[in-house]
Amino acid sequence: MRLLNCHIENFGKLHDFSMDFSAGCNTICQENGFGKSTLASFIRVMFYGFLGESKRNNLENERKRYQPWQGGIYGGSLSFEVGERQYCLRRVFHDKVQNDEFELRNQKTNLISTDYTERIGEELFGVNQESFIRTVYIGQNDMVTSATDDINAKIGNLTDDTNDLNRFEEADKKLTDYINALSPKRKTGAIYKFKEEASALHTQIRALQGIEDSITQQMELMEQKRDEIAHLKEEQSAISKKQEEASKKKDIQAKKEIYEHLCQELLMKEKEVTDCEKKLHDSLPDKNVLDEMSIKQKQSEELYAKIQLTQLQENEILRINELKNLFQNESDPKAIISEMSARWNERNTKKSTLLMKKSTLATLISYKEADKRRQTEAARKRFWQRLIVGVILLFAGIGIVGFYMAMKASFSSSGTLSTTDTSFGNAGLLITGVIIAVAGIISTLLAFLQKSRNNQSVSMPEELENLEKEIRDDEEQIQNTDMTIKTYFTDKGLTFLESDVQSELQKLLSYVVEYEQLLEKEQKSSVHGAELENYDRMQEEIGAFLHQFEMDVTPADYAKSIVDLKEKVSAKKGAVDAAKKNYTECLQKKEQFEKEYPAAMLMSETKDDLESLEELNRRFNQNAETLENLYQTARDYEQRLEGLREQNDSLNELEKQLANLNQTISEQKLLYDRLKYTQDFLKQAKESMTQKYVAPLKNSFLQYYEVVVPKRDKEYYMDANADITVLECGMQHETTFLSAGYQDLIGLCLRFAFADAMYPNEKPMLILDDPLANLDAEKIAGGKNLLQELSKNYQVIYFTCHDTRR
Amino acid sequence: MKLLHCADLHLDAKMTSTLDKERAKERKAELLHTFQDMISYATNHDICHILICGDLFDTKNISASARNMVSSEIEKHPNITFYYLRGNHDTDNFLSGLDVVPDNLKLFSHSWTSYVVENSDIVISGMELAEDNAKSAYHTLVLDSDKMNIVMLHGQESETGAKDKAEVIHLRELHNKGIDYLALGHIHAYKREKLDGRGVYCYSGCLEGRGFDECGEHGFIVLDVDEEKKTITDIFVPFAKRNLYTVYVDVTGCNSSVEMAEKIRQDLTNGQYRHEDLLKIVLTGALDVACEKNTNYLLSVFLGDYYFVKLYDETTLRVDVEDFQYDESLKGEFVRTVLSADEMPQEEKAAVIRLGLQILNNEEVSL
Repeated sequence: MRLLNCHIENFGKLHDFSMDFSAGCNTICQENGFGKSTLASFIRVMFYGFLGESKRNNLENERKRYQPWQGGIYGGSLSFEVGERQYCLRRVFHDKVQNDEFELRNQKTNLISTDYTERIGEELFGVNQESFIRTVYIGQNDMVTSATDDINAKIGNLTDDTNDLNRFEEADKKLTDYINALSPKRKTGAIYKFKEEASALHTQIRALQGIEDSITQQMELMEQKRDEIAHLKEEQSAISKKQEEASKKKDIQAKKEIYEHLCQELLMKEKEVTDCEKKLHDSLPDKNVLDEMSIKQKQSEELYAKIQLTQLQENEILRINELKNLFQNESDPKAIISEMSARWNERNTKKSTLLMKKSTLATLISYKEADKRRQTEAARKRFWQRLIVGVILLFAGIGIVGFYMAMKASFSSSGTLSTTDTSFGNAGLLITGVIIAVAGIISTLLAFLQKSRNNQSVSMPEELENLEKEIRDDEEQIQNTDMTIKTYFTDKGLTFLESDVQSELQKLLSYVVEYEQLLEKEQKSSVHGAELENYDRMQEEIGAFLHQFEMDVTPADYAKSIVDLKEKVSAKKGAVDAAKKNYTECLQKKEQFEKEYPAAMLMSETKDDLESLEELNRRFNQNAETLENLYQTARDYEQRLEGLREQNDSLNELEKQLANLNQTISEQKLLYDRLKYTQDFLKQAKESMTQKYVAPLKNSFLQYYEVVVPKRDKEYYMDANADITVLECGMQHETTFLSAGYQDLIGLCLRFAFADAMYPNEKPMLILDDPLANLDAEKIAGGKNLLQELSKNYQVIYFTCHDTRR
Repeated sequence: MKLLHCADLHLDAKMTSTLDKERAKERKAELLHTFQDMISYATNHDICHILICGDLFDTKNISASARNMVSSEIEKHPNITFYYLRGNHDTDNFLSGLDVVPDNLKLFSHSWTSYVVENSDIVISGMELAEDNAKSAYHTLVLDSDKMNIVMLHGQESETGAKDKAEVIHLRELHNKGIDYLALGHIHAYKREKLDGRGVYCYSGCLEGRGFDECGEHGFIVLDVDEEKKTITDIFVPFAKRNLYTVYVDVTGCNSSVEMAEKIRQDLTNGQYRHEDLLKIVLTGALDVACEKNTNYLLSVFLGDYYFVKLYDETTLRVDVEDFQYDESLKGEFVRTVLSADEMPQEEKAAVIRLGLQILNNEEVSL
């Protein structure tokens, strides 16, 4: 592979710059500031793009570093040859890689080529930019090199086969990242973090570890409280029983008290009865005696009344004299008055019927006249009706007979009608005519007969006359009665008034009754001496009787005193009865009580060893309060237990988390160890691979080295990683201990050795940016020889600023 | 007459061994809900007797909510009689926390206790096994052969009778005792076997699986007692809200995560697992060392399809030496270098080779 030419539109300080390249060594010797390094970078950037795109530093960020000083877009073209093909690569750079333009054309056809993409550097050289820089591109003051994965892979010719040796660094880095990510020693490592977490969990668990014991203790406390509650409940139960017993005892006591009270009451009632009876018998008469006295008093009173009744009083004497004047001439004044009264009643009856009779008479007279007129008219109508009917019937009968006669005469003359055929019909017609004529005659006769009868009935009736006679008799009788009574009244000094007659007669009758009574009393008053003596003796007895009971009263008050005594006796007797009733009731109560309650209970002795009900109640209430407190405490314990259980659950959860975490840690640790093993084994494999090409690489290195330094002054070694060491004082040392010139020389030779190993067939161009600057004059000469030697196999683009190194 | 036999409910279990805190809380609540649902099932199916053969609770520290829920459920169902035999996880804490033991809660002790089911010939006997009664438990059990005998115990079955310690049930010692049905608790998987010529023994298993050591269906057993024929029919009723399954997927021959995901999906579809189930997918088989495998990706593919999924990689790497014998690349040199290393286990070598190849192939390594 070789470069043909390049054209730079804009790139750093270079503007519209073109250059052709030949095969072999192309030395570009220009003074400082020409832009040699920029040109070298341009060639590299055309193949690989910019380095340090993400860097802020303008020197490190090549996109910024190589922006044209005058600004604007920049880029250029580069023609090169690979095998027999020639290409023209064109890139235009913008502010960022996405906006960059890339174009590859076939130089001969000028057609766009797809043989390579934007990653043309890697595709063309088979190495990344880093490896490119370490091999075929030698920047200013960048001589020192070492083998990269790409170099190793390229050297080992493994790139085309599996392309995995060049992954070593990436894999190693990835493994390192994984190992670091898991690291138990780094703070950012997962295992470290998990351990920290586990430690924190462990601390939390340790803090909670006593929780089981706390729960057990709390349970024991709870049990204690439950025992206390149970004990107290038993005690309460015992107290309840005792309360029941005490209550029963109290009931029995109460019953006994009631019984005793009943007994005492009975005794009292009995005494009351006795007292009452004693009082009754001592201060008051016997009831029978009192009753006898009472009867006696009543008899004496009756006797007295009787005596009083037989004596006429003064007013009675006056009255009897008055009445005697009225009725002494009459043998039976009551009968006379009764007769008068009867006659007066009869007279009044007649007087009342008389008016009615008079009215009836007048009515009868008017009826008689009216009836007479009506009968006359009706008789006249009937007369004329019968007369007309009779005449009509008479003429009709005559007509029929005449017609018969005419018919008979006609048939007889014509002789057309046989006797046999007409005899019956002709006879019927004749008879009919005769009957009708007779009926007419009868009707006419009856009319005249009825007319004559009507004329006879209009005469004065007998009964009307009788009625007029009766009226006259009644009026006479009334007048006689009035006269009789008027005379009687005048005798008695009374005035006759028709309206007062009846009441005056009644008054006289009552006078007669009074008169008779007074007369009877007048007769009885003559017989009274023995009864009066009897009356006095009875009064004495009663007075003596009353005196016995300190009741010295006048006879007038005997009756009242006896009544008083009776009342007193009755009252005392009532008191005795009431006392007896009370006693009986009390006795019944006692007997009922004895029936209800056994005698054993009522007569039992009261034990005093039992606690009082009040004391028991007090203890029960006190225990109830304690029990309530215990329940409250038990509830508190229950709540605490719930809390502890929750904490215990948390502990379990934490323990589970810790167990999971420890499991994770051991898994991660296993993975960590495996990753480390993997990294170690991968390194071993890589070293094993690289060892295979170390010998030819070292030979190539020494070959180039000896071109510069014909007489090798130092012993060099190369390890499996293609790192060079130098033997000094019997020890291998890194080349960094050597001078800058030697370091550049070693780096230069190693690069060329890498290039030889990496590109056995198609050789790439070598871009060398003043690589001999640090060499002394002798080695510069050797360096120039080296370049000449290299240019036999490689196109060398050599930049220098000094003629001595040209 | 119908009875329900359950055991190992382990209410209040933390459930954190598999699940994260939030899901563990959710599952803890689900345990309680399943217990409530079981009682509702009993109510709806005319079951008046529930036998709880131990480990009703998981821990002595019973939470107030669990205790209150259980006591409330018992009180709310006076028509159901609960026979509660305590297991090795149960303590007195539940009973001592009750103010009054409900009438419909029947308890057992360290000596045999029997309850005659009202108006029937069924006798339910039980004993809480412990060190002090382990030896005497068998000869002190006296049953009336004319009755229908149901016996409740909690412990590990042992057919041989060789061990002599608490919580071991020597089945041989219970032969010919007149047991019709031996209701057991302690083993968390359903098991039914013949006890002797007359009876059977059953472990109901736990009501809900808690971890991947309790995979498969879980529930309870419903006993149908025919007193006329003197027979007991037992039926296992799967009742767990969620089941746990460990699914082994052989990914041998797969060369990428996509292929492996496809193989996993195929196996899961064949398994007919429910969306609400919990799965542990275990990758098995030998993979080529150069194959691409991303377990995080594989887990993410199935994570949303089920209530819980975790993925275990138990695959081995296969390194074919001949493939790299003449490989002149760095990769070939690396493989040869690792394989020639002494004192490194083959599996470890394979892992290192895989890592190296991932790195060289520019693949990401999951840290």
